[in-house]
Amino acid sequence: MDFSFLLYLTVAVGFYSAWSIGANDVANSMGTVVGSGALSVKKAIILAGIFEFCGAFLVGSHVTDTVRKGIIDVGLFTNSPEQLAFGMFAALLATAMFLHAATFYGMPVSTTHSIVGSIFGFGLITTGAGSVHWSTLFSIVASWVLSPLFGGILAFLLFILIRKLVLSRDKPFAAIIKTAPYLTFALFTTLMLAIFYKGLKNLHLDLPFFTALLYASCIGLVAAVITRAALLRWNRKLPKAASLEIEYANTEKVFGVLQLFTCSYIAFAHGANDVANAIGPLAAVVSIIKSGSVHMQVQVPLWILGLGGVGIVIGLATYGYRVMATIGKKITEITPSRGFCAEFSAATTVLVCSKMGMPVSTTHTIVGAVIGVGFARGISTLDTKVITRIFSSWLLTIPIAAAVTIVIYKILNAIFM
Amino acid sequence: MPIIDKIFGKSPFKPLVEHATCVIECIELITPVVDAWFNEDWDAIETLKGKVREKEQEADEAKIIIRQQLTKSMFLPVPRGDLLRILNHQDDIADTAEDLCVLLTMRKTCVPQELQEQTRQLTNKGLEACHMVLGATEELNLLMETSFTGPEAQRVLEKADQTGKLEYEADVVAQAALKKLFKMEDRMDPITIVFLMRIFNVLGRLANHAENCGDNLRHLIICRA
Repeated sequence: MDFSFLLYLTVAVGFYSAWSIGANDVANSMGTVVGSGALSVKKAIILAGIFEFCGAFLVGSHVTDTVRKGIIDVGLFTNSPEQLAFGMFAALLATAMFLHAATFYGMPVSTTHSIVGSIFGFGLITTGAGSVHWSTLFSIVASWVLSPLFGGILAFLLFILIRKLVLSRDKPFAAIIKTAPYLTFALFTTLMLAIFYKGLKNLHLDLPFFTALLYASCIGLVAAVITRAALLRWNRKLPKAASLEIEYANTEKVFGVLQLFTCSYIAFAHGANDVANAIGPLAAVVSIIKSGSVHMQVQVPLWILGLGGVGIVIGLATYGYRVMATIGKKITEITPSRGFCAEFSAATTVLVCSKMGMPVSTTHTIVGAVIGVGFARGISTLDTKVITRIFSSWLLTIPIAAAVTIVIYKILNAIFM
Repeated sequence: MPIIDKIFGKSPFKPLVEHATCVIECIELITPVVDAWFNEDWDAIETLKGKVREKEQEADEAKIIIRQQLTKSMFLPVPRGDLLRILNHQDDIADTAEDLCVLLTMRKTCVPQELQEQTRQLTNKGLEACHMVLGATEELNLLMETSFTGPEAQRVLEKADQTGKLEYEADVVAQAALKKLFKMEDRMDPITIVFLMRIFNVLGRLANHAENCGDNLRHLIICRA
């Protein structure tokens, strides 16, 4: 039987998933800059698009590999590759359907969690519990708990540091001029390190760790010098004896500019991690149908990473636009200095997880980071009901996603086999 | 809808500042009330009472909004109790302004010439204390911005200290006024004495409430420093 129709179907559903990831998650990265008025919706979308695509294209393959072959033992399907292809398609379709239903009921579920749950469910029904890579699955689930926690701790410490170095000073604006270059250095160095170290493999530019670190810190240094020069110019425009109110207002404006970097950073990290949810199963199906057998060591084809990236960007441009326009005005309770801390910490956490091949939820990590800033007395009110809802979504997502996948797989099996 | 907008509750500081502004508008009417009292212009006091009531009710509305926002699921950077107590003390200030008007319209009690200066002083000290502490509350937004540290926190703490000093000064003036009142007891009608005592008491309460409010502001800042 010719299964090429399955390829087209999977490409379509995979593209649709990428689209909805872009459409729904963009507010997480860009909501704060649009809310604070630092960027217009249009510019925010363009910025997010560029960095989401770069993240997906350059770093997306690590997590994609985990989704494709880390959760279940795909080697067991050597004799029945079409079964694996159907299963991966079912997982992708189930995730898309589950997410739609969850969004309808207002549940804060994560695409990542549901795709992992779906693949787990499919493995359970076809080759049994023995085919599930339990240790990988457990470490993935552990990373879901640890990533918001780690993001929160990082954000807590970063905000305390910023309060000590900037906010509590007699002259906060003078303090931010001293501090900001270090912040941009840290930000650019980590971001560039993520790209240079194992990121450019796709472009056949594999650098050893220390070379990558060297290049990354050079770029970080350049960014720091530029920041310092720009801030000194800004300082000259400020009246000499400004009141405390004006000092703080300008300090927040500086953080508003720094937020442009953290937002891009988070878009990059999001693309790197979440693209796998859409293209992980697709990559599996493509390699099976192209070769007619199951391969363990294939690289994720560049066109698939590109397809995922493009899907996310189109999602941003078509629907994310609307989400942002409604949400941007509402996120005014978080000021730029807090937004900076939360985003920097969340993005770093997600990027580290991506490099380790861990599919984590960007949204939950951001929520964790925001709560971290809240614990450091940075945010005027946090609604803890959200935390309970995230917890319950954790408990529900895996079993439901797995069950839906099993149903879809059975239906497909009954029709085609 | 993305969850990120659901995690932020509405800031209780903004309505608390609005409440303080309402109360300031309310106590700004006290000086005209005392002026009218000294001039024995009872009609003017009656109109001013209406205005004070209006402002007091506006403040009450702001109070209800804050109470509704501060449900248990809200995580705050400051102790919830301090916020609610600040709100209550501010509200007490507005209530005291209303009480003064009520007392003055209840009976046409005139102030003897000799007591006018002390009465004026007592009113001014009380008002000064209220303005000091309400001005501090009005800085809560900026205080939140600095995360309750640095020069801004120092500024609010100083205002709380100042309020305490003013309360003490108001007490001294009130005692002097009462002493003087009792020196004149032979030539005064007892009901007038009772009423003047009550009026002095109400005027003295302004500074008391202001001091309590300042104490809670202080605790709000230093509790987790």
